[in-house]
Amino acid sequence: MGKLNEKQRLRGRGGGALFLCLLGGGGVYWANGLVEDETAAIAAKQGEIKAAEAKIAKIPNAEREVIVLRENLSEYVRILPNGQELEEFINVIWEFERQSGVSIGMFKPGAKSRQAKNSKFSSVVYQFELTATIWQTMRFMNLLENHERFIKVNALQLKSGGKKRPGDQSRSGDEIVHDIKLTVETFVYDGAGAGKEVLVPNYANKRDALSEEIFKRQQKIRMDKYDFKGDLGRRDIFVDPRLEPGEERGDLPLEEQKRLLDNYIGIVQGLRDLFRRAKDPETIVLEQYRFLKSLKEGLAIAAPEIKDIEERGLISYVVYDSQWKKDVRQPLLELQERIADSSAAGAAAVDPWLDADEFEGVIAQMEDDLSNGDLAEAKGLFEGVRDKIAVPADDERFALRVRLEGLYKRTAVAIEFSKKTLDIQGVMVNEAGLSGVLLNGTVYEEGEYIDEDLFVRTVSSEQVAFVYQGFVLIKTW
Amino acid sequence: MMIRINLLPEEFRRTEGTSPKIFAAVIGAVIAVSATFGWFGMVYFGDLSELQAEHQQVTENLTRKSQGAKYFDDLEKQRKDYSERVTTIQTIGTSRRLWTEFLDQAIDVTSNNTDLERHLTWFSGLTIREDNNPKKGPTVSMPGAVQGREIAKVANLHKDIAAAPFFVDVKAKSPPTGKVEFDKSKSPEESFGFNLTLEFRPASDWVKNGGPKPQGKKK
Repeated sequence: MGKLNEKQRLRGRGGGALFLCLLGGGGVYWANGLVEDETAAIAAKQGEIKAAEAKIAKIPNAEREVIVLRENLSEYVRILPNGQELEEFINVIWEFERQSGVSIGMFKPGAKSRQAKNSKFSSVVYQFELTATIWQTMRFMNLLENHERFIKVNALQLKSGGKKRPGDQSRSGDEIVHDIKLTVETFVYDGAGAGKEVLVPNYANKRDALSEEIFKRQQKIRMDKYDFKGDLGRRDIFVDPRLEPGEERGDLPLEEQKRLLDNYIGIVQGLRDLFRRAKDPETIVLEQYRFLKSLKEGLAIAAPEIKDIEERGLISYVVYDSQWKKDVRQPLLELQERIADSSAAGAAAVDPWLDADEFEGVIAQMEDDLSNGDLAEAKGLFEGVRDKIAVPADDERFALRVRLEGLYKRTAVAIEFSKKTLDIQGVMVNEAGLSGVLLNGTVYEEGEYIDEDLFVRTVSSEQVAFVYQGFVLIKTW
Repeated sequence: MMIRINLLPEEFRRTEGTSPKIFAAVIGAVIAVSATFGWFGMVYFGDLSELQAEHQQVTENLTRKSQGAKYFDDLEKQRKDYSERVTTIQTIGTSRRLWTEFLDQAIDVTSNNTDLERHLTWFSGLTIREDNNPKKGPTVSMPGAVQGREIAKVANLHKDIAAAPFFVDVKAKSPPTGKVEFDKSKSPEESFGFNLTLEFRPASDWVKNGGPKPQGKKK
């Protein structure tokens, strides 16, 4: 092989160097590829870390939600169970039948059916045929609608009946029994079960801290309910209220019944008005006493009369009868209950006694009544406030109490004295000595006893003063 | 051009030195090759190693955080399961009408405080029907009669019905029509028979669910 000339050597070395440079450059390219891969992998993982951190930041809220929901799960399952639970449902229906008084003639459960393709729940339809009064029907429906498990009345068909319950002697149209067809629907949850419960660290403490929220959420999920209060004296609108010939059966004519009804509606309304005014905080004690006194007197007259009218069945027309129950009997009962309640509430009050001004007012009024000879008024006034004066001996109002009780004693003695037969037939006034009085046919001198606790104190031409049970009492003419 | 010929025997000839060109080329080549390999070394053993170490660290960090994320995912799944039941309850709850309440209000309206001058009404039956179609509301049909022969009393009843609390959810009501009927077994004999029908709005439009929704324009 010939010797390489310079040019060839130059080319050879240059070529070698170029090869090595290309090799090194390829290595750099390859290594850069690895760097890029690694950078991308790191970036991807950092993205995952960010996503994980975002999730971790949401853990407290998620825990809170899960705890609140889990604690209320039993409530949700009661409303919307996982299964049809037919036997349980039948037991409930039987209990409702007993409570409401309806008579179930037919009960037919249907098959479970999905509400919609993607629906999370299915429904089960039940059909009933029953006989019941309107109030029994409503009570039964109300029990169903208020039941803890969600029950929906889908259809109701009521055919007005003309027959009364066997053995029912009531003449009231309210007792007419109707034929009812009822379709109700319950629901079953088809969603996935919650599976195994996720273990939340420190669950008990977190649950306790959320107790208020748990309760609030429980209230929120509660289904609408309705409080059915019964007939409230109303008539059954599914009964023809018109009278049948001869149905009046010797009772009062309709015009008389209407007059009686209107009269007692007015009386009861007046009594309610008295109660309202007596309980008005703006009303002063003396007025309260007067209103309550009038109310009690009115009640004492009206209540037996109302009872008598009901016992005699004077309001026989069903329309008037329902109004009687609603506007006379019911308000009267409520009034009596409220009077009883207010007495109990008064007894339980923190300071149930009259204040000093009220004491003074009652004392002044009693003194006024006594000086006017209105003994019954004074006695009634005291008795009206008797429950409100029993302040203890260490109370600054005790002296007023003693004064008031003294006035009452005086009133009671005066009333007792007034019942004594003291027929003054004449007086003999003796300026120089003892005067005398001709009483019940007997002459008594000043200082002389008429009986063991009554004696003649002084006699003048216009009046005779007696001392009775330690009190001076004057008779004038 | 003049040609120079070296006539000395080969062993006596002066040794030829590396030409400056070659020398320069070799130096340049060495520098270039060294730089290339140096660059490679920096990238491979420097940057890449650092990144690999960082990757290792990030992986460990991710492993740790993934546990928290999985815990969250489990919680979220459970929350979704529980919430679905709640949503279902709310869905079916909003679609229920309490018919006891409706009947109670209907009785109140019909009793009318015994203002016989206004109307004295009774019904011979009642039919309540609800479809499963969420776009349709329930319908109520009540055949009945008012005492007497004045249609004005039917109109009064309709006014009272329209003032009842349940009426806010009623979409349509039958007009006050009817005909005089006679029943000799009753006193008074005349009554004005009618059939009252009420068509309720769909459940989604009930007041408790936000009331009627505005209708969108159809294109």
